[in-house]
Amino acid sequence: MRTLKITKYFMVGLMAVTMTTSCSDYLDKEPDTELNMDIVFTNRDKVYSMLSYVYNVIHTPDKFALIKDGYEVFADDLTPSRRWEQWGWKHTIPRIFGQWTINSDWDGDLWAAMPKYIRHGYIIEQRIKALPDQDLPQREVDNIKNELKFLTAYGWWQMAEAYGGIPFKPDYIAPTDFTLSDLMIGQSKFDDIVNYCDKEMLEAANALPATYEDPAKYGRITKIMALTVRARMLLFAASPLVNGNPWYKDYRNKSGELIFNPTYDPQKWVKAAEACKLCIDEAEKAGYKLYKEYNDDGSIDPFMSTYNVHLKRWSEGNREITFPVTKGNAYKQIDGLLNWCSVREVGGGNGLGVYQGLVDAFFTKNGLPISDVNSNYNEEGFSNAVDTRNTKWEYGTGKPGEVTAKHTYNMYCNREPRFYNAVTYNGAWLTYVNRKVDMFYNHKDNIQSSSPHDAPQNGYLLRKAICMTDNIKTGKITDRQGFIYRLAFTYLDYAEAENEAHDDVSARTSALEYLNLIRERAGVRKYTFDNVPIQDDNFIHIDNTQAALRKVIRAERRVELCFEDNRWYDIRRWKEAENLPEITGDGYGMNALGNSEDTFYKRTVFQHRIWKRQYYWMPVYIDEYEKNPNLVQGPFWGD
Amino acid sequence: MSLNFHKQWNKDWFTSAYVNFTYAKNRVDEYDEPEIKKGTYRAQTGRSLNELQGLTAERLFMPSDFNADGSLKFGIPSQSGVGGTDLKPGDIKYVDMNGDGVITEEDAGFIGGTVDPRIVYGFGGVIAYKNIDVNFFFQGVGDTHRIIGGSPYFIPASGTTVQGNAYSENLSDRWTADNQDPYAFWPRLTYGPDLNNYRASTWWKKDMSFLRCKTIEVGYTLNAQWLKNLYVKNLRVYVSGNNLFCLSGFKLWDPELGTGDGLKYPMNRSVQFGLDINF
Repeated sequence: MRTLKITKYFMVGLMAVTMTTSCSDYLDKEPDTELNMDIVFTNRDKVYSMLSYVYNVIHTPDKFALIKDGYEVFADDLTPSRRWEQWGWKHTIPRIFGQWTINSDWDGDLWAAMPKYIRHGYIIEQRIKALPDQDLPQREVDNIKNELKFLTAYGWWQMAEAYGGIPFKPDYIAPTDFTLSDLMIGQSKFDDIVNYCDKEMLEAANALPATYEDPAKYGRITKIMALTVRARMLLFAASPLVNGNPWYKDYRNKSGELIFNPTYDPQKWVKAAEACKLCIDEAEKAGYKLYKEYNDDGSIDPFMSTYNVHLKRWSEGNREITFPVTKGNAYKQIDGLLNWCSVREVGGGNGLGVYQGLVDAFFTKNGLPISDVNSNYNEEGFSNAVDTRNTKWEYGTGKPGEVTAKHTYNMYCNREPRFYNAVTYNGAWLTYVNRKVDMFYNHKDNIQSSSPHDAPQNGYLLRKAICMTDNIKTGKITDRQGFIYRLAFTYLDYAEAENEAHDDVSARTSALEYLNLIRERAGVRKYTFDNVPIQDDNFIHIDNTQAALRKVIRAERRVELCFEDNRWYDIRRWKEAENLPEITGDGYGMNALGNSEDTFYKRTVFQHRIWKRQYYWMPVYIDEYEKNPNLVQGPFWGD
Repeated sequence: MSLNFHKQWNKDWFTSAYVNFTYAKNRVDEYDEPEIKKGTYRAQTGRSLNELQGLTAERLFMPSDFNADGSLKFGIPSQSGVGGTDLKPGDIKYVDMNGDGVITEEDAGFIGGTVDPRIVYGFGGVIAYKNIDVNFFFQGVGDTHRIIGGSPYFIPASGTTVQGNAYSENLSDRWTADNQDPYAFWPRLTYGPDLNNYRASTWWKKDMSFLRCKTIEVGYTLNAQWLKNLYVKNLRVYVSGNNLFCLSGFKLWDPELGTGDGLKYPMNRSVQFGLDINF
């Protein structure tokens, strides 16, 4: 008995001892809540996780997240149905009707968001080191540092572009034990920010590759992405809004310095032109080119080219994309572009329209503006034949080669190919529901009996960048590549900058060359300074003057880059808003209350907008403005 | 605080009464806000929690405030900083609180009053005479304010493209070109939402105190002899009413609903008849 007890205790004791000396420290893990900055940089996954946070500098999913920044709403290309302001558009639509104060919420909110990403970018740049045994070699680390050099500069630039005067302290990581007054810096001069970003972006571009061989790295910053943004930035900085603008002669920061340079500097245009040319040269060297599709006879098919340039991916041969966004895209989201443009029959919002001014901006088939007497433009009556052209495009009537059906309103007949890929007018063909669109009052696509806000408010719907076979009801939606810039942007940026930089024939010839590349792909006649007859098959004559070339370049930009988040950028830097009737007053379209041919096809006012000079710049949000007594409010916002 | 009182005056009369009263007011003594705000009409420190905020309204604009070309006369502050970009007679005119010559978001501050009532009270009683008894109970709140409206659909027909509710109570109390009353309840109607007119301000701050008759009950007790044959000790017949009426300075809708636009199902008023039988 006694021995049994002793044995029992002995056995228990032995077991206890063996168990405490267990095999591994499997359970000896630091919980992740004890994570600190030092640990992050010893772990590859955590480094990449932090890097992807900094990539939020590219802050929209792509340029079609219209309700976030609102830049497209503020411009005069697209017009969302006004009553959508009750829903996702509540921070964008009211602004164009004068309801814009320093207290207005802005979903873009760059002032609050960008500094966070920039700071993280600086921290990574400072502390990242190679982790060879975790597959993070030194060359990868060097590449990441250059990506960050661009991203942080891009963050600063986006803020400066939106607000004008921003507090700017580059390459500085505020310590966590800061004194509050140290953080309350005033706003810096605009040119200082541009110069810093120019230097940083160029350094980054020189070190980054033009493309990545590893397809998994598509979307990471390349040389071309950096050069494209740099060129756009320098173009903005050279433009009238900030280059010697007399409006801002009293816009000073708290120390009394002028935020915008009041003296016009023509060198800024030269710099911009050089930056655009550098980008173009590097891009073309690396295989970037305009996206073109061809007919069987070898000629360019402008319809399919201007249609598919927005839909095809890099891997499908679309080498025009210069700034891809791989985080996601706003195309097929529930509250996204495809939904807003699709008709009610498939459950779409059906209300994202287009201003009449844009419809009028598209050229005619022979490449002339509709106001030109030689354009043969006519908006009376209806066509009496099908318009057939040399193309494989079948989204005009459902049959390849047919552009407009018989009995189409003449305003929409004999227009350039880009028009048919950008605007859905009444009577246009909708492949995804296999019929023509019918926007007469209370007809199929303008139902008034319920949700009249989900209807085209002025007789048009957006069509650009929409895949015509995509159907949100069946769920058959193309998987596409989101992108912010394509090479066409830089060609046109160069044409404008070169023309402004030098008032001489060789500059204009060079600018014209790139302008014509765009026109050739778009299927309209090219421009020439030579004297050619009016009916020439291939060329349109323009005067060999800076003013004449400027005019056609601006017109081309409007039409080639519409809806691609460029128009607001152009309107602002050209100081054009006051000259645009659809921004300062009445917006026109077809008569959405008409239910017959006589009543519908009339130019009708459908809304009235309010414009104030302060809208050129975002205001400093009132909470930020109050926190820091060293800030001044945006120009004219205090009035 | 509450008080009760009972008295059987004589064999026929009995009265009982009770009243209760509560007063509650809070004050924030310390709050992390920018120094620039402290001590001004925009400071939370020193004020009650959830005190109402908005602009201070003066009156409606009159034609005499404008020049012939439609611009504001010299000396009248511009209001585009609060959304008043296209002012006309009949729009709400605000007070320049900080004296900088323009009406902007910085003129919006605390305008006093909280939604949560500071005073809650009730009283009631019983009066009985012989077989008749009358029971009543009233309940009320005081020192409670609410800013009504605040949405584009509040001012009748001035929401996005002519939507918006019309409140029947005081529709005639509105500014029109024929009746240019600078203190009319409803400012000028607009085709679309006019931020200048529907935003929070003292114009839309209303006193929501009320006194509500919760219950009145009148009963008659029978204890006749013939009931005893039915083994009934006594029988009481009564009629009672709930939420019979409400006295309040606010007339647009029932202030107890707790809504800023009145779009709620109203309180039910009910009347019941009943029998109390004791065997």
